[in-house]
Amino acid sequence: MKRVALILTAIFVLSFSGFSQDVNSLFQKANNFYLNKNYSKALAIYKQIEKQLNENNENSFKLYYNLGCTYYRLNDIANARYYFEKAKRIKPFDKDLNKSLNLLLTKVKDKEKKVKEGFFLHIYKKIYLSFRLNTLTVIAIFFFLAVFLILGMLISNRYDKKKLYYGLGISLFLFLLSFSLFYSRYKFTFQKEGIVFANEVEVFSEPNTSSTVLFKLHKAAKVKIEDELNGYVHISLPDGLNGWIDRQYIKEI
Amino acid sequence: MKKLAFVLWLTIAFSSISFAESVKAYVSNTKIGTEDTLTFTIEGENIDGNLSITSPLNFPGFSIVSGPNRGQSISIVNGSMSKKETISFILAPEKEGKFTIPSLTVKAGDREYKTKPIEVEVVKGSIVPRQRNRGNAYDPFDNFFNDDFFSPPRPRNVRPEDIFIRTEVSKKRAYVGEPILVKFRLFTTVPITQLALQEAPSFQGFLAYDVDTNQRIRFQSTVLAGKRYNTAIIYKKVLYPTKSGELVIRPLSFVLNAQADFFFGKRVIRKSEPIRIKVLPLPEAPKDFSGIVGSFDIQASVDTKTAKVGQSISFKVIVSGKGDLKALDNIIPDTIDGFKIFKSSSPKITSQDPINQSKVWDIVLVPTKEGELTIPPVKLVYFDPVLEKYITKETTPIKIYVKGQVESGGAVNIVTPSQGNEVKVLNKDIAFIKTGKPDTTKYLVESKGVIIVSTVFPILFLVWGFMVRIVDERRKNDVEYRKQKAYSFFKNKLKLAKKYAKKKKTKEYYQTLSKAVISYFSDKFSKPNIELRIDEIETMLKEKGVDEKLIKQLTDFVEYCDFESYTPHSSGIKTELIEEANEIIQKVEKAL
Repeated sequence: MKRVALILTAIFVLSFSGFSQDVNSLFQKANNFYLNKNYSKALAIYKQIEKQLNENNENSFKLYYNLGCTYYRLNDIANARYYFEKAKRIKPFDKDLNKSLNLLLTKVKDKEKKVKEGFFLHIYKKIYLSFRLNTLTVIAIFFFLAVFLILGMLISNRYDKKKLYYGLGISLFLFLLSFSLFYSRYKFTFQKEGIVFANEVEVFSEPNTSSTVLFKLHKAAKVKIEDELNGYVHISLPDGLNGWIDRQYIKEI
Repeated sequence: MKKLAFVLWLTIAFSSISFAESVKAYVSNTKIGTEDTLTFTIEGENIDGNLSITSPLNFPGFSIVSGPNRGQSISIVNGSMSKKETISFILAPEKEGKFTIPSLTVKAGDREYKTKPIEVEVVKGSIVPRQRNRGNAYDPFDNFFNDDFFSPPRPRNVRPEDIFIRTEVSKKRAYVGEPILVKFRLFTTVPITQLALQEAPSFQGFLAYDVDTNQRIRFQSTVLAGKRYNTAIIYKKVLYPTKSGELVIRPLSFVLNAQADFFFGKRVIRKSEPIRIKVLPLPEAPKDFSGIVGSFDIQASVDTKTAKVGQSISFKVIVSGKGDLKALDNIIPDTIDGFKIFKSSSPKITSQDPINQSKVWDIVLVPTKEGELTIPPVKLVYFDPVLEKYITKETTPIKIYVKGQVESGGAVNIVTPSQGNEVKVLNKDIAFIKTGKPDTTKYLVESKGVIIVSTVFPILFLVWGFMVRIVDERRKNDVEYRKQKAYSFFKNKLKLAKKYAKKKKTKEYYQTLSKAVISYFSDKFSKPNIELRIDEIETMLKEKGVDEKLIKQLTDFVEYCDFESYTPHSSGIKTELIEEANEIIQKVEKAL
């Protein structure tokens, strides 16, 4: 059992790639530029870091948040929103982020309709969103392995069966619970959403410009991406409005 | 038998009456004095819908004092229900003579009824209080029971001395506006099940207020003239005389349901006696007399004594005491130097008790200039009937130090000062960026490690389980393995025995010990556990040339354990046996 834990931790530690000194110093530099109100220079460095992270398939809440702030200062609300939303997927309940994002939303022309959710759904959402995705992944895997370890012990026929059955029941329950939390969090993090980058876009009923214009969206509006076809994306809004937009006006988060 | 016949007869008679649908009119007395009043009632029994009078209301020779008063009653007697609806008038005669109350047309539901005209004789003076109440026209049973024809089997009658009502007043001499408490006390020797006023009371010449109307009637036992009575206050009023002279509290008529016999509820009407009260006029009033009589106190308070210009100060004036505070008008001056006055809509009167209450004025004052301002005393002039003179009471003047200005640009800001002002948001901006090291991470879900871990490990665990099981199964049948591991198996069994010793399981403990020893030998000699007996072990050890003493020790040990395990009440658990077993087996291990 101890050995198993050791191996598990070793694998997780290995999978976190260490901070490269390079990224750290770059980040520091960009923050200083921001502090001295040299936003365009700060932006350039932040972008450079982002590129590096993308190559390594990494992400950073701080970086996305700072990028959002920088774009906000440069009055680019579409990009600001894009990065704030990206940061929100990592830490949905960060106070600074939500404050800045709410302020930004006052500048967006399209007001977002909030869909009311039930009490229990709300609680469930609060729980899974307050964990990081990686935390939930580790917890779910831990209980998943625990289930199989106990199964193995049961098969081996060497240990007290009564205790093992209890253990199996409990770890199975905890696995299902943590997996459902993990899955919800996973869906939240990798949901397909996009930000409108054009000043005004028409939303069509079919994936071509000759069909009916259903409604118009403005800069920095957030849409849910449902489907993609022939350079058009099928988008929907929280209140159920949906239609097709030219791919080029939308940037996927 | 006679009684039974009577009851039957009564039931039939009663039900026939109570179910009859009828409208009738009657008066309380057919002969009254000029100073008396007359109650004229139209009663509908078991009718549909509401009673209404369609003909014009004109009573020649009478003036209407009160009415039309509506009333309703439902009574259940001996299981039959009757519903009565009444419209009544109180009429006062204008002069002596014989008058006729004309026939009236009454509508009830869809039907119309005509009442009979009633003749009333009016004589000079007052005759009603002297008249017995017996024989009310609308109580069919009263006459019925008085009829001598039925006298032998009739139920016990309620005599006047069985139930009567007395009026108690707090004082018989009062000033105009001085409160007088009137209590109507019921004395009874029979149980009372229902109690009501016959008509709405009118206290002429008085202002009347209710006192604790929600209180329940509580009976007490007293002895009066050698007879035991239950007595209770059934009605209370506070009266304020409105004019001077000799005023009369008019008698009130109460309708009681007395439980005179086992199942006869008997309706009885009792009148209280009239009370004369001498009301004295107030002496000549000073100019600023507030108009209230009694004894009072006045207090004033403010919530803060230091304030800023424009800040609101809560100024409270409380008048409390005994007397008619409802009659007290505004005593707050309209202007106070240096303040703006914001009066609340109306002063509040606390407590429902009309004798002892207080009236509160809640006023907001806003200083208009800086410096030391004074709220002048508030004056209250009232007449004290005990001291028999006018009394002036004043509040102490309150000094308020006003310094500085409220910063809301002169607008009156009604905020409680002790809580401070709310923080004002001037501008909004995004939060500052996050500094420190960037929290770069990878999503574990996207890494291959997670997939490897979550597929390889479960398989490993299962495979390991199967392997262990297979190996264990094989070993069970492996003779050499058993021989080698015999001692360690034995040790394991001793551990188990220790556990039982801890749990105080005597039987299991000794069984495990003996089993441990025997299975050690079964492993050593490759024999099945069940077949092996201690004498077999003995012979085999002898064959191997083991020391006789050791064999004896061993057999004694096993026999002792077996014995102990079958006699559960024996001497408890001897934990030193574990050590002994271990020693013996170690020696055997060496000898073999």
